[in-house]
Amino acid sequence: MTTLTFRVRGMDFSNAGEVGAKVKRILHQIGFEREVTRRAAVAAYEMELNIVIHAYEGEVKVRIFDTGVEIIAEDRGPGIPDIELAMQEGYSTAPPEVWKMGFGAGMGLPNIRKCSDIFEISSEVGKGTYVRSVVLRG
Amino acid sequence: MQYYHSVRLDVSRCIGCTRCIKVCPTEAIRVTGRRSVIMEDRCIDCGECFRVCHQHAWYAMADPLERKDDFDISIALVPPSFYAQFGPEVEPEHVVSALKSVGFTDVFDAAYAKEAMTRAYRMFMKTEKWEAPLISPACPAVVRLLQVSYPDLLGHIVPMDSPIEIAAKMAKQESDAWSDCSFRRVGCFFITPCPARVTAIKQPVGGRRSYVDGAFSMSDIFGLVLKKLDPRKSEKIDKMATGSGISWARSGGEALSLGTKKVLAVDGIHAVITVLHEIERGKLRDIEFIEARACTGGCIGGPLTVENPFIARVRNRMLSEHRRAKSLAVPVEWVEENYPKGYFHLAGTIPPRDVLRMDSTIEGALDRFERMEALLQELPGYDCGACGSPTCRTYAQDVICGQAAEGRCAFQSQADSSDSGERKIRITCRQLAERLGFEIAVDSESLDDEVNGCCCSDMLSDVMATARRGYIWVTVQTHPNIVAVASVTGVSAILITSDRKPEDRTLVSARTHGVSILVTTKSSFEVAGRLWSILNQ
Amino acid sequence: MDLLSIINILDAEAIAAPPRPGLVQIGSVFVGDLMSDVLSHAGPDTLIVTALCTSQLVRVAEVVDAPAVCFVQNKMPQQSVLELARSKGIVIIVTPYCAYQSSALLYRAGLHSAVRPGGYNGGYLEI
Ligand SMILES: Nc1ncnc2c1ncn2[C@@H]1O[C@H](COP(=O)(O)OP(=O)(O)O)[C@@H](O)[C@H]1O
Ligand SMILES: [Mg+2]
Repeated sequence: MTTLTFRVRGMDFSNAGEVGAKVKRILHQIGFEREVTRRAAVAAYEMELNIVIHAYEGEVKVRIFDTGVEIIAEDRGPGIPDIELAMQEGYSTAPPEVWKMGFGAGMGLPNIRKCSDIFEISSEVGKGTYVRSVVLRG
Repeated sequence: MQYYHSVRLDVSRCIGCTRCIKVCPTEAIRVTGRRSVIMEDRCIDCGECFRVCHQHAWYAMADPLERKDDFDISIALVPPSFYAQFGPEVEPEHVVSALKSVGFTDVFDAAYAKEAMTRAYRMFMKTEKWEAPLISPACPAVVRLLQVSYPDLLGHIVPMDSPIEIAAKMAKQESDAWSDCSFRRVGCFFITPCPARVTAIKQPVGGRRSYVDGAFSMSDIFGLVLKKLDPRKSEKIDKMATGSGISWARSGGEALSLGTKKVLAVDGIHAVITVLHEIERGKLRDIEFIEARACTGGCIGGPLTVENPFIARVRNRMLSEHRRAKSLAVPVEWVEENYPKGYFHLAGTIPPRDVLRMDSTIEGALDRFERMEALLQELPGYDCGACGSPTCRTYAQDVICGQAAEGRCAFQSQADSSDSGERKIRITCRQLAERLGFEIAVDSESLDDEVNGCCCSDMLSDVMATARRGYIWVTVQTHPNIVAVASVTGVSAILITSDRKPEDRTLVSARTHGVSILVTTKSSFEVAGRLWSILNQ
Repeated sequence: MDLLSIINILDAEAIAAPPRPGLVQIGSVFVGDLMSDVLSHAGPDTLIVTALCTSQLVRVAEVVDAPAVCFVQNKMPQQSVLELARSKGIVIIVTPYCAYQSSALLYRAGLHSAVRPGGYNGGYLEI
C-alpha cells in the first residue's frame, strides 16, 4: 500500500487540479484500469476543488491498494450545514468569481458519489468537512 | 511490439554531455557509459535532442533520394514550409520547376490537402459527436506524445488522417486518372521538415500502411533544389492552395483556417505539454479546437529545416497574404462528396503506448512505486543529470526498475558495500521498528540499543558464527531455541518475518532472558532491503 | 532481470551455469534456509538465496521450478551437488556477500519478494 498526501490551500487557483492530475498519472504508471483511474482521478479532483473553493485549508490523502484506491479529503473550513442539500445536483454556494473560472456548477459532490463504490461525508459547521471515497477495481 | 523511430545517435560523436536528456519531453534518453542511450519505445521523434546537441551526434533517418527511382512515377509532396526556406523572390512555381529538374515526375502541393482538411474538420464538428477541446491530428510528434504520456487525451484527437496522408491519397488518385497504362507504380515522397513525419510514414498510427512511400529530409532536398532554381523557369500546378492552406506551415495557421474564435494554437513541445496539463486538469472545455505543434513556430521550425524559423515565418506570412482568396482552393462539393465515404477518417483508433508502467502486475508496480518514493527521499532533488537520468525522480525509477545501477548520484552519501556491519546512521531498534511498521512482541531494554548491523539467516549455527552485539537478526524461526542464540550473540532483537507468530514458550523465554522480539508480515528479503536502505542512508 | 545482471550486482561467480545466463530471467527473490519455506514461496521465476548448500536444496528448487540458486558467503557446495544441479539445468551462483547484504543489493535493484503474505504487503482496504 502506498499513501500520498497533498496539502491544499483555499482559494489557491494557480495549483487547483494538481491533485487530480497527479493521481491520474500515478495510477496510470502503476497500471490500474483506465476506468478505475478515471473515477479515482475525478473524485480526487472534485475533493481538491471543494477545499480550494469552499474551505480554508485541508489535505487530500490518497491510499493505493492492489484492490483499489481510497481518497480522503479533510479540511478546516466553514463546514456544510445541510449535507442533503449540498448533495443535490446543481446546488452550489460558490461565489460568481468562481463560476467565471469554470467551477462551481454544483456537480462536485454528486460526481464524487457517482464515481465511488463507497462514499462517506460528514461535516461540522464552523469546523470542517470530511469526505471519503473508495474506488474499487473490478 | 517493436517501435520504429527515426531519430538516431551517431555513437562516435556522442560525448555523454547530458544536454539531450534534459530536454527530452518523454524522458526517453539516459547517459550510460559516457554516451546517450535512447529508450526506443518512449521516443516520439520530436527532435528536441538534436536541437541542443553541440556534437551533432543526433540525426534523423530519412530515405535516400534514390528511393524514388524504384517507382515509375515519383511525386514530390511539398509542404508549404518548404517554400519558406527560399528568398522572397522565389515563388512556389519556381520551386515546382526546380523539383522536376531534380528528377521528380510530378509535384503535389500538400497545402492543397490542408485546405481539404479544413473543410473536413468543419463537417466533422457539424455532423459528429465530440468532446471539447478537439486536438489536431496534424503534428505526428504531438500524436505520439499523447500515446506515450497522455493516453487519456487520445479521444480528443480528431479521428482523421494527417493532412500529409490525405495529400498522398489525393496525389495518387490524381495521378492514376491521367497515367497511361504503362505506368505501374506511383510513388509519393514527402519533403519533411521533421523526423516525426518520417516515423509516421514508416509506422502510421492505426496500423494501416501509409499512402506516402518515402520521406526526404528537407535540408537534403533544399541544396539540390537551390542549385536548379532558375528565375526564368516556373511551372504552375492546377491544384495549388490559397493563402489559407499555405499558412498551416506556421503556428496558428491551421487554427485560423477554421474560422471560429474558440481555437487555441500552441507551439513548442514543452509549451504543448503545459496545455495538455490544463486539459487533464479539466480546463479548456470552452475551446473547440487546439492546434498543437511540437516545433517552435510550427512546421517552419522543424529540426530538418534550413532557414531561421523567424525569417521563414515572415516569408510564409507574406506568401499566404499574397495568395489570400475569398474561398479555399478545394471545392466544397468535392469534400461533401468524399467526406461521408470516409475519405478523411482514420482506419483504426490511436492506441496508447503503455511504456510508463512500472511493472507488469499491479502488486509489483505498487511495491516499486513505494520503493521509488523511499529512494527519492535520499536524493538531493537537484535534477542535475550527472547520474545520466534527467531528474532525481527518473533516476529513482530507473534504479528501482533495474534499469540503472545504484550509487551514481554524486550527492547521495554512498552506501559502502564492503562491510555489512558498518553503520552509517544512528538509529535504535525501537525507532527502526516504528519506521518500518514492525510489531513489538517482546519489549525489553535492548530495543533502545543502537542498531549496528543485521544478520539474515534461519540456521542457528550460522547466526552463532556471524551475528554480533547490536545486530538485528532476521529469521522465520519461531521456536524457543532462538532466544538462547540471541542472548549468546547479544543481538538487539530478533525480527520474525513472513507473518510467523512466535510460539508462547518463545515469548516467555524471551521475557525472562531480556531478549526483544519483533514481528512483521513482510518477507526476510524485503525486510533486509529496507533495513539496508535505512542503515546505510 | 536477467541472470547476468544479477551476477554483476552480487559480484558473484556462476559455478553451474547454462551456456547463456543472459537468457535466464529472474522476477523474484526468496531468502531463507528452511526447505518447507522454499517450497511454499519460490516459483518458476525465483532466485533462491540461501546459506544452505546441500543437494536437498537443488531438489527443492527442481520441485518448484526455480531457475537459479545463490549460495551466500562464498559457501562452496560439494561436487555432487553441482553435478546434480547441472543435470537438472539449475543455475548455481556463489556470492561473497552474506544473505542480508545480498538481499539488500537485489532489493534495491528492483526485484520483488517471492513471499507475498495476505496479498500485497499485508495492506488491505477497509470497506
Ligand atoms: N469542503 C467543503 N467545505 C464547505 N462547504 C462545502 C465543501 N464541499 C462542498 N461544500 C458545499 O456543498 C456545495 C455543493 O458542492 P459541490 O457539489 O461540490 O458543488 P460546487 O463545489 O460546484 O459548489 C457547495 O456549493 C458548498 O456549499
Ligand atoms: Mg465542488
